[in-house]
Amino acid sequence: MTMKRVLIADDEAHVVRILQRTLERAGYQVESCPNGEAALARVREAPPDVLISDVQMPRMGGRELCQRIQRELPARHFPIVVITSRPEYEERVWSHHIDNLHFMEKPLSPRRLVALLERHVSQPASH
Amino acid sequence: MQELIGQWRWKAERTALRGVALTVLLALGCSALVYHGQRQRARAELARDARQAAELLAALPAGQARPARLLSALRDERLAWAELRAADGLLLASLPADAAPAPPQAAATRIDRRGDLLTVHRRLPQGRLALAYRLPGPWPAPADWPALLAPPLVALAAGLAFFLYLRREVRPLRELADGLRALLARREPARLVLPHAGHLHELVLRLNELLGIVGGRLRQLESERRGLSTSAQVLAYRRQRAEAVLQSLPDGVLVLDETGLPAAINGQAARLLETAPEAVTGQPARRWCRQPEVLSLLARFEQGGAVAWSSQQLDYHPLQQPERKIRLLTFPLFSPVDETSLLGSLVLFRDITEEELARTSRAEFVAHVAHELKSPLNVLAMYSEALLGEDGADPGFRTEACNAISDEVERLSSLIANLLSLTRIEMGGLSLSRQRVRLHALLEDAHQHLARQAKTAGVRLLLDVPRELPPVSVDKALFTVAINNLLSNAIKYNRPGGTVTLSARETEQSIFIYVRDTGIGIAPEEQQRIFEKFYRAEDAQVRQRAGHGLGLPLAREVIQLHHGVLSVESRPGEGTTFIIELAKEAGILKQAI
Repeated sequence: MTMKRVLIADDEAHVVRILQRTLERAGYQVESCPNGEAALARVREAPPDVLISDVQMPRMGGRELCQRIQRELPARHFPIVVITSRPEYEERVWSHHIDNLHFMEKPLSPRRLVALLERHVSQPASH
Repeated sequence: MQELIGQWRWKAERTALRGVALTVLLALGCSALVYHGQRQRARAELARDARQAAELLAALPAGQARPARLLSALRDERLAWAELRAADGLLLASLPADAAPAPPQAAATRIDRRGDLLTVHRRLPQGRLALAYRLPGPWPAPADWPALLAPPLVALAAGLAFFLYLRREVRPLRELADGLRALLARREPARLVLPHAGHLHELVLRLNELLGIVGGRLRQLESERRGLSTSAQVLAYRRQRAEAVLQSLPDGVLVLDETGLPAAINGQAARLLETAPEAVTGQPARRWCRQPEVLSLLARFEQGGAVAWSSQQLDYHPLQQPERKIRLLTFPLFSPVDETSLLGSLVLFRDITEEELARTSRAEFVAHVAHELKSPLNVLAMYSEALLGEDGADPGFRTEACNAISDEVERLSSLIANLLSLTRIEMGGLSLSRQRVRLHALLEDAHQHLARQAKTAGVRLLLDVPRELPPVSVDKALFTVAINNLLSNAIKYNRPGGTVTLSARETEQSIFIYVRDTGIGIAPEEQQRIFEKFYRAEDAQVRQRAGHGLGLPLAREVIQLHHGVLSVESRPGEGTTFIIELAKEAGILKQAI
């Protein structure tokens, strides 16, 4: 069985470390980028099975990252999970035209994140 | 009226005098006529008498009497002379004896008037007779004078009496005129006092009544005039005050009358509409308004209809300053007496640029704070959950988790302390609780406070502060927060094995405090932005460190509150020095106050 690839875009080292640890334990292959720009480049290179993104990041934040991905890859299959302090605000202001987008509120529970990923990341048949 | 009466008085007297003179003249004329008639009659009588006398003498038989006796029989005082001559011209007798000789020729009886003599010639048997009588002269005899002069004298006396009577009658009128003249000279109503009012008494009474009424009315008018003048002054003052209020309003104000045309505009509105107040009043909007949105709204007011009866709102960007945002609000102005009658409309122009900016930045600030508060909480939550799970059993992970939790708690606590200080400062009205502190002691405390953080980070923290620095007057709590923020940054953005030096120097005017590190440095383009709230450098090395972007803004605010300057010198890759300059005088002056 191929491991699902998770791409994390977050500038907080502690957050990346703990997410990486939790998700790896849950059987995901984890990559991380410190900002939206790097994450977008990585998505273009090799679309992950799921993208987890913070909102406030240097160079390119989560909002712009999602909009760029939606524009460049309108037929993408992977879900995007945005971790934010204000999910209602983000949902209201900019989430309308972006498909397969999910919000998780800070403080984040890694367990609930894993549960969300299990629901939304398609589990292809084992090889 | 006074002149009228004056004229009338003089005219009356003149007329009376003329009347008197005329009457006297008439009387004189009558007397003259009478005298003339008498004279004519006397002449006629004289002629008849003369003829009769001549006939009488002729009838006497000749020789009966001697001529001298004959003549002497004539007894008439009117007879001037008489003579009797013989046919040959010899004077037979004359009376008086020296009478002048008569002309030689003679007819029968002939009467001849010459000069003042009437002469009768008669042929007598004895000769010719001539009798000369004195005609009555042009002037009456002295005896006639009294009879002739009596009528004119009576007329004169009667005329003068009439004149005096008239004068007496006119006297009250003259007094009335004088009284009126005096009254008019006083220029104010008073009673008319006439000592000899006579039959004008009633008129004077009525005039006084009239004067009383007029005086009362005048006083009333005067008092009304004063009242009106006072009201006018009050109104003018109120109008000026209203004008001043209108002009000093921060908002632009345009008042439209019931036809939708501008009745008043203040300077602020004229500025916002880029026109002059004089160009606006009474003029339709198309003449002075270049802002299309405003023009179309005002045009609707000019067309009348429902638009004026309700409030309208319109936001627009001025043509010349598109970066600004103006909000236009209209309110109907109803009559205070009749609420169904519309007096016009009030149009307010409010520059809401700053308001919008403030709203946006407040929303941004809150969003930032929420984010910055939740980020450490997020890490705490994730680590605590992980510790509760299978990872909790891993000693390596536990150490990592404890360090992370300690870092984040420190970050959260510092963020909250900074937020509170910043809010205190930004709310304004913050009075520094200054106290004299020894700078050496204050900096030493800060050095000790940060020692543990420096040790954890593997950074050497050095203190180089002369003990003899003068005391400074500062708010100790706030000043310590500022120094701690600078030191904390210097440690955080250093490299392992680096150095942070806290030093202070004194010059004549100032005290300088330096926080120097050997860290990653700050790019020149970011050296000013680091003092913006929540700004964090793009550098990944910065992002790796837990920060909240409030430390430096707060430090700068605190130093500025102390009338000091916080500046930065930095070279990327080599290190950064933050410099606090405190003016000595400021501290000393404040101390004195």
